[in-house]
Amino acid sequence: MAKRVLIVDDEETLTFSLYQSFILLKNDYEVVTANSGEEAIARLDEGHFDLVITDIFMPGISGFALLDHIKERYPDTEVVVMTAYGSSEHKDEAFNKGARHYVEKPFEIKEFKKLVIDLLG
Amino acid sequence: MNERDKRLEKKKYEAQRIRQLVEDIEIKKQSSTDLRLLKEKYNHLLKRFSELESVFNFHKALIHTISSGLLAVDREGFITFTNRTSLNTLGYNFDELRKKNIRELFADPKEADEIVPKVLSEYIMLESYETYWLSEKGEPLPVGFSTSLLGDETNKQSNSFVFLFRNITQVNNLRKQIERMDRLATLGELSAGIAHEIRNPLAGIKTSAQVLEESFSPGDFRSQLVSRIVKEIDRSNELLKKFFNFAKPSKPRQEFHHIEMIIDGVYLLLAPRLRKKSIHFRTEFAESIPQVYIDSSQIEQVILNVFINAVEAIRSGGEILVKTQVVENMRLKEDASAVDAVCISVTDNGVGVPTDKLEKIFNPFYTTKSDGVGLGLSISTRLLQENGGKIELQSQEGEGSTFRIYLPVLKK
Repeated sequence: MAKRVLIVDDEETLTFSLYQSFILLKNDYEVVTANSGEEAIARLDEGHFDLVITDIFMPGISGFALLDHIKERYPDTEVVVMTAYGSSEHKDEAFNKGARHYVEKPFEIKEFKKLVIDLLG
Repeated sequence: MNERDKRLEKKKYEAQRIRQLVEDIEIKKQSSTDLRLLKEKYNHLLKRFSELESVFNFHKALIHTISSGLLAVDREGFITFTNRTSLNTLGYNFDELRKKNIRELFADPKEADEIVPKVLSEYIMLESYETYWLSEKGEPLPVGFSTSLLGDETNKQSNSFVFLFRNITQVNNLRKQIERMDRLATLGELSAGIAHEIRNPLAGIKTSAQVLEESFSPGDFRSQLVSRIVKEIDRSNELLKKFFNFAKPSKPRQEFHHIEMIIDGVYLLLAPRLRKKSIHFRTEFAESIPQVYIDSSQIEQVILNVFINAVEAIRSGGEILVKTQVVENMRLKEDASAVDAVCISVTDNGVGVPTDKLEKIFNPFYTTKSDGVGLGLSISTRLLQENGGKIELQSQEGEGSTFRIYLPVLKK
């Protein structure tokens, strides 16, 4: 069965290009994108996701709030957090809330994909 | 004269004598009372004099030992009285200062002409007025002074005015430090915000470029173009990371470390560069320097930065000397008590820094290098603050510079 990945970021170019990069992968991934925390919650209500990759600082519901929501409602779903801030406090908070990984933007697409593949198999 | 008359005469004489005797006794009694009274008055006067002398000495000592300088001037501005502190502060002796007019003390004669008449003629009293006065050596000293009328303020008839002043160099330095930290904090917040806003679109561009690159074969020139896009984004990102470092250094992870080991480590990093420029590197480490409680990678960054500055200040040949010592009673933060500190001094005999640039050198984005960003020293200042320390620079253009890094000594 295809692994379902939800990518959440208010930066549309990023969600679009990440979506495109997963299409190029030979593995069986179904990728859905959301451009806000609210949209992400709506997508999560519609079906199970194996992995959520989310930005932290977004207008409205933040990535941390989304992370809390996922850990409470969908504990089996893994979360990777990404951010353009370079702060170790955010990193610590992300791990404390149960994120599996923390990625600083901009990142290398190859490393990003390897991370996803390692997490989902 | 018969016998009876002779006896009468004799009695009369004796009576007169007795009366005289009594009178004499009366006089003597009076004198001795007078004398006693005089003695009492004299003793009383002595006592009063001694009390007055005590009070006088106490007030004299008060006036001469207060920590502010005190000058009394007459209506024309001539100095009629100086206390010891004023002599010490300005570097004059008693006779030298007494000959002067208060106007002569002002570094700016125009200011003197404006301010002094306000006090002496218009009776406008000043509170904490800040200006520059000239020391005996002719050097301008920042002072703050207040004025008052000697005697009755209400009738404004006094011929004597009091100038109470302090050397405010230290206050000014603290003020500048606070202003600098405020600017750094604001700039820091701005930088973090801006960097974040820029890194987000950069992430979008980079990912798009790399996905595009994957769709071209390696030999395709379009793949190479895209690869250049990615490289330029990485360059911009490195710059933004520096902004972050400057804006919000990570919370320090502190442990006890031997500062000499960190210094040696940084030296090893720079050894090839030192050899290339034929720079002689020397250390003078004091014995038994206590360990310092620091984030070693942050302090390593500070020391590296200072070393790099020293290396770049030397054209070729030349020497860098690194010393460590313990300094007592350092005030490392404006609102903290004085502590013992480990001082690491890095002295080079390079080009030095011009005096007018010394203030600016710690400012963010200030650089004299063509390829410099100008954040190194301001980042170092921030990192040191986070670790409870501070940095100072002493420099002589054409002769060299000494950076002094202070780190607090904590009891384990």
